[in-house]
Amino acid sequence: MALRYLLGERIRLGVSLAGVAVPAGLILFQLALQHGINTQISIYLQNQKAPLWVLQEGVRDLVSVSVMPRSVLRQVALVPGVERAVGMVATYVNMEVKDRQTPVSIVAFDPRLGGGPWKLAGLERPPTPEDLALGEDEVIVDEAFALKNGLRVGDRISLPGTREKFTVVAYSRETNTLGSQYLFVSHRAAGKILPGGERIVTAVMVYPEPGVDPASLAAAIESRVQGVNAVLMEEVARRNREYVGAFFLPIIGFGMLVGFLVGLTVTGLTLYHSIMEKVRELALMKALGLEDRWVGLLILTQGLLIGLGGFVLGVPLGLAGAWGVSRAVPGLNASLTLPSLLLALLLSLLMAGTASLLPLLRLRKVDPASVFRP
Amino acid sequence: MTETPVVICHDLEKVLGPPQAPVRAVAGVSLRLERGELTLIMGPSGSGKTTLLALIGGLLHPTRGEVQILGVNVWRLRPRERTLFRLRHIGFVFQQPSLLPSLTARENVALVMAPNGLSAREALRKADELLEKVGLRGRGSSFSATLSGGEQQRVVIARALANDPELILADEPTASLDSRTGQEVMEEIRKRVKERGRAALVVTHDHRLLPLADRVIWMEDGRVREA
Repeated sequence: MALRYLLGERIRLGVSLAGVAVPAGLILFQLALQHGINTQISIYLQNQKAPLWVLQEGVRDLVSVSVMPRSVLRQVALVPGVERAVGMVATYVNMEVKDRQTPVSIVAFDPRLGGGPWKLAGLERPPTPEDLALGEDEVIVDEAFALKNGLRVGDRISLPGTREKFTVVAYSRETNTLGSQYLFVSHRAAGKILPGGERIVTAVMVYPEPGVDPASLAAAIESRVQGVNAVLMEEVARRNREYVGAFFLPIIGFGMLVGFLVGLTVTGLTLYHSIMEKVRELALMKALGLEDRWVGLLILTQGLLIGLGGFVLGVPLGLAGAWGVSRAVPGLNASLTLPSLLLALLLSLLMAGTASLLPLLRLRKVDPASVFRP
Repeated sequence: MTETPVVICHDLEKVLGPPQAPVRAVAGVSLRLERGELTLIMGPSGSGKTTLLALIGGLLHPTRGEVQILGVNVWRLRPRERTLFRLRHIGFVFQQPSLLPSLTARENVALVMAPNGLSAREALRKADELLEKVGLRGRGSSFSATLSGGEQQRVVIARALANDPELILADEPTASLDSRTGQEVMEEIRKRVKERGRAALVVTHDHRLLPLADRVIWMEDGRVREA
């Protein structure tokens, strides 16, 4: 019956559906964007596949500054249960390219051990250590960074902290985050990008022996190596997300709130007007002996049907937005996940369900005796 | 042992309008409606006939007095109980054909049966039977807009009879019908009253219905007298 009522008023139904579909699409787009940002912020972490990360004491994410003596690498490697420990030196700096300041993360890595890029432009397979073997004055730059700054293979660029020029030898893929792009240099060039870089590590990636519990190993490392935190990869990823989320989430949250309120207002008003025009029919139902809750259920069902329909129409809008932003920002994979879809569905239903409250309140005031009046 | 009357009204009064200019629409009406009795209420416009119907139907709260239906004082019931009481024991026929335009004829009839405990399927099946009884066989899937005024009012009659109510309250049921259809509609109500021992109270201006009535009550200035 609710569906009949809705289909009987095509224009109003269209307005109501659009009123939910647009905010639902907006919410989905923002959730996709958030997912893309979250994925990007931990993309380096996820691709190194180290279950455990050793960082300077007090640091539990890859966003904060962590500096440890290189001796830590050896100490960690000697802890029972550690199969492999890979040190890396990374620095987050503003880099001037063609008179423009660009934030970059520069990583110095040893291709034989790991820590370098996991995908190179023009290479279908994962790169081998030979592909990643860099000279001391060579650099692999993020593809989006190269595109943005008009860099080509063979170009020579200056890296911050050194007057030496580095030659671009390849482009890395999936290394563009909203905050910065990744550049990779040889571990032998660490001293050039960070003062004392050859004597320090900023993080140690730990690969446990088979069967060793990473959490137990973390405790063992912290008890044997002074001045470090051994943090599980999941925690580092979560903290990275929280760190970035503190900046982006209020913006995304505000956008979602605006979308929700717009949908609530449009749906609420159209449902209310629809009910106002049906006061006589509602009075008739009440006079015939249909309880308020039964008639209320009819109104609520209409609201929920609008919420469901609006959500279904909102999905393509959200997908289009996600596709657009992914195209606009290279490396950003703004995609819809099942939890995002479920959350948007819940919000759409909540939006339309809440919008039904006003008509429901009006229903209480409908006088069944009014059916006797001509 | 005598049967309980279907309706007992005692000293029923309804004051309408603002406190500074009150109007006694119903002024101290007492009446009884027995089983198997079709009663007409006649009288000039504004005499309080429809207000009396609304008071008896539990739709309008009396200023004074009481209404008992099947021995139950309807105005002592809680609102929800009163609504359900109305659903189960009273069938309404209104002046204008009062169907929900979004529903088919059979759905309009089934509408009052489903909340009374029948499954939707069973309610629709019974609705088809009722429509057949009022001469609308095969029209169950029609929407009200495609039915004539007479057909619509027959659907309303079928709906009023759907829960086999002890009391049928009708407000000018033939007003929008031609004389033949009006007669048929009233015959249908009378048939139910006689066959099932129900009571009907019908407000009308139509003198052609007089031969069908067991009793006629005349109402004027909120008061009633047997005609």
